Amino acid sequence: MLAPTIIFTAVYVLIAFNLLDKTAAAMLGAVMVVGLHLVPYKVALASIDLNVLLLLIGMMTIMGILATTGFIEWMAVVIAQRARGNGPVIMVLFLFVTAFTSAFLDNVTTVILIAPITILITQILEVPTAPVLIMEAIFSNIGGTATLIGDPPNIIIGSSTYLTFTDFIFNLTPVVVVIALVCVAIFYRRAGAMMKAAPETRDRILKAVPRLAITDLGRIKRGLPVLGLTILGFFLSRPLDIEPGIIAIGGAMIMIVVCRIDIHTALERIEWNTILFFIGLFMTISALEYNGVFQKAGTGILEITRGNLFLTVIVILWLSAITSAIVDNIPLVIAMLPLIQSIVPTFANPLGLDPASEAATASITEPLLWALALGACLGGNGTLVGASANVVIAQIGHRNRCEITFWDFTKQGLPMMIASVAVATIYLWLRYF
Amino acid sequence: MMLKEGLAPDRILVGVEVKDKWDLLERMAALVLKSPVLACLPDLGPATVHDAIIAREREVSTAVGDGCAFPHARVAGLGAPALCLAILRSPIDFDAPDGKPVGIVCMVIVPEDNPTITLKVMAELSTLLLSRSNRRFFIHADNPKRLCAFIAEHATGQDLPIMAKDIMRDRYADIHPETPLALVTKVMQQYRIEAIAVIEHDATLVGQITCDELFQFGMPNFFTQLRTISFIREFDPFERYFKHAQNAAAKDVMSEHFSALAEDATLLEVVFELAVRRFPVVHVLRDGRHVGAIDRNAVLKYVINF
Repeated sequence: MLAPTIIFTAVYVLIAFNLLDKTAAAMLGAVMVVGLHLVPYKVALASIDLNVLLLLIGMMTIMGILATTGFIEWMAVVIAQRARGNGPVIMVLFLFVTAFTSAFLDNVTTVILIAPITILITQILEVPTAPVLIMEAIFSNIGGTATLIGDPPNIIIGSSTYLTFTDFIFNLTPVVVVIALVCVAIFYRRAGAMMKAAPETRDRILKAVPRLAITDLGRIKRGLPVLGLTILGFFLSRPLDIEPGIIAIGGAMIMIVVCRIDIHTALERIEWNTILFFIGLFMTISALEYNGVFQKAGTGILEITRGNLFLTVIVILWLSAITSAIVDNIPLVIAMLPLIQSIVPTFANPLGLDPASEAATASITEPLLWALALGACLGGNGTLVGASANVVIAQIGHRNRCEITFWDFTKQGLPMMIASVAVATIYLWLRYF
Repeated sequence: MMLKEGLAPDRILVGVEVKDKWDLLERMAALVLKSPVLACLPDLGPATVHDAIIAREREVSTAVGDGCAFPHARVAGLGAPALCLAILRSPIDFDAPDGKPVGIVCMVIVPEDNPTITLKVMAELSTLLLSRSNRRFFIHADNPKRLCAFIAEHATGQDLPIMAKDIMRDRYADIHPETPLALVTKVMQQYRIEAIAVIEHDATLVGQITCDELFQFGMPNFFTQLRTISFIREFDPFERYFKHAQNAAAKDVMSEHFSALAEDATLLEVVFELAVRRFPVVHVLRDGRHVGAIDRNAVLKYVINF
C-alpha cells in the first residue's frame, strides 16, 4: 500500500509544482507501478477509461474543425454590435458565451478560441484587457461544470458512473446558472465602470462587418448540424444506451467526412499529450485502488465527518475545491472516485439499503458525486494554477503585453471561487437533504 | 578549367579606361561576342547579349566586393561558357556591397540551362586572386597575351566546387546587440533584406533579426490566432503597438536561432539550410567571425533553373 501511495504522491507533487511535464510525470508513474508489479498489467490496462479518451478525442476534433471557420469571431462581433459597443454589456455577454461554449468544449480550448477576439475588442474599445481575460478563464471553469462534457472531472465522473449527460444537465446546470449570475454581479460591481467605452471607440465596433469574419461558410453550414446532432446524441445517450465517448468519436468522424477534412489535419488538432496524461494517471491510480488505499482513506474521511452524510458531502465539496485551487483537479477526481464508492456502503448499510440500489445511489452516491464535480471544477478558480485554462489565459496575456500575475488572478478568482462554492453548498443542502 | 578554356587574348582588355560601368559593359559585351562559342550561334544577334548583360546589371550590381565584378547573362543554345576579362587602369564605382571601386571585371555568358557555371568562374578567379602576387600581376598587366598565359599557368584548372564564400554578400552593416532597433529597421529597409546578423564587436555572431521577428515584436500575438481581421473596418493601432519598440535595441528582438556555416561550406549545405531548414539567410563565418550572408535570392539567382 505504501509504494503506490509514494509513487502517486510523487507524481502529484511533480505535476502540482510544475517540476516535470504533467504527461511525462503521469506516464512515468504508470511505468513505475506496472514495472514494479504494484498492479497487474491487465488490471492497469483495464483501468484506462476509453470512454473518457474517445470523448476527449472526439470533441477536440469537432471543435478543432469548427474553430478554423471564423465562427467564434463572427459571434463575438455580432454580440458587440448588438450591444451597441457598450463595454460592460459586451464583456458580460462575452462571459456568458465563454461559459456556454465551455459547457460543450474543453475549457482550455474555449479560452484559446475566445481570448484573441476578446483582446481585439477590448483594444478597439480601449478598455482594460486583463480583468476580462481573467473572468473568461473563470467562466470557462464555471461553464464547464454544467455538463458531462464540459470539464475533464465531469467526463471522468460521468464515465466511471452510471450518470448520463442529462443527469449532469439536470443536477448541475441550474446551480451553474446561479453561480454564473452571482459571479457576473461581482464582476460588474467591481469592474463595470472601467469597462465603459468612449463614443468614438463604440463607432469602430458599429462599423465592423461580422460576415467578413467567416472564413469558411461552407464548413460552418456542414459542421454545425453535425455538432448539433452530436449534442443531441449526448442527451439521448441513456435511452440509446450508447456511451458519450462513442457518440463524440462518431460525431468527429462524420464531421471529417461531411466537412471534407484531411484526416491527418484533423488529428493534428488533438492534444495527444492530454490523452497520454489521462492514460498515465488512470494506470498510476489503478495501483492505489488495487492495493486498497481508497478504502483506508475513505475510513479516514468518515472518522472526520463521524458518518454524517451531509457533513461528508460538504467536506468532499470544500476539500475538492481547495485542493483544486492549488493543484490539477484531474488526478484528484480520478483518485476521489473510488474513495467515494468505498464509503457509500457505510451510509447505505445502517439504512438497510443495498449500496447498489437505486435508492442508495439517489440519496447517497449522487450528492457525493455532485459535491466532487462542483468542488473539483469550481475550485480551479481560486488561484492562477488551479486550472489549466487559468494558466493558458495568463500565457496568452503575457504574449500580448497584458501581464496577469498569480496575485492578479487570485484577487479576482478567489472571491469568485468562495462565492461559487458557497452557492454550491446551499444548493446541495437544499436539493439533496 | 573554366578560365583557361573560356578566355583568349582577344577577349582580354588591360589598362582599360572607361567613363563608368555602363560604358565598360558595352565594350565588354561587344568583345565577348568574339568567343567561338557565341560566334557559332547563327541566331544570336549582338543586341541579345548586350541587353541581357545590361538588364541583369540593372537588377542588382554584379560586383562581389574586394575590387571584382562578374557581370553575367544566360544565353539559350550555348554549348560552353563565353568569357571576357577587363583590367581597369583606374578602378570605377560599381555599386559594390563593400563600397570599394572595382578594377577587375570578368564577364560570363553561360548556357541557359547551367547557371552555376558563373559561380564556378567566380570561384576559380577568386581563388587565383587570393594570392597577393597574383592580384598584383592582374592589376599591373599590360599585355593580354601574357595575362592569358599567366591565367593558363596559375589557374587551378580544377572544376572547383561552389562554396558559401562564392555566393555570399558582405555584411551590409555592423549591428550589435545594443544597436537601436530604429537603426536596424532602417538598414533592413535600405538594403531590402529579410534577415540581418547581430554581432559582437569582434564580429562573433550572436543573433539574427528577421522581418518576421520585427513584426512579431510590434504586433500583439493574438493576431496570429485570428483567422482573418477583415471584419474590422476602422482601427489603426500601429502607432500604439510599435510605441514600445521606440527605445528597444537589437538584443530585445534578436533570435539565437539562426543558420551559420563556414565560408568553405558547399553549395549543397547552403541550399539545405535555406530550402530544407527554411532559414531566411545563411550566415557565413571565417575563423568563427561573421563575414557575410547568403539569402534565398542568391540561390534563386545561381542555382534554381526552371
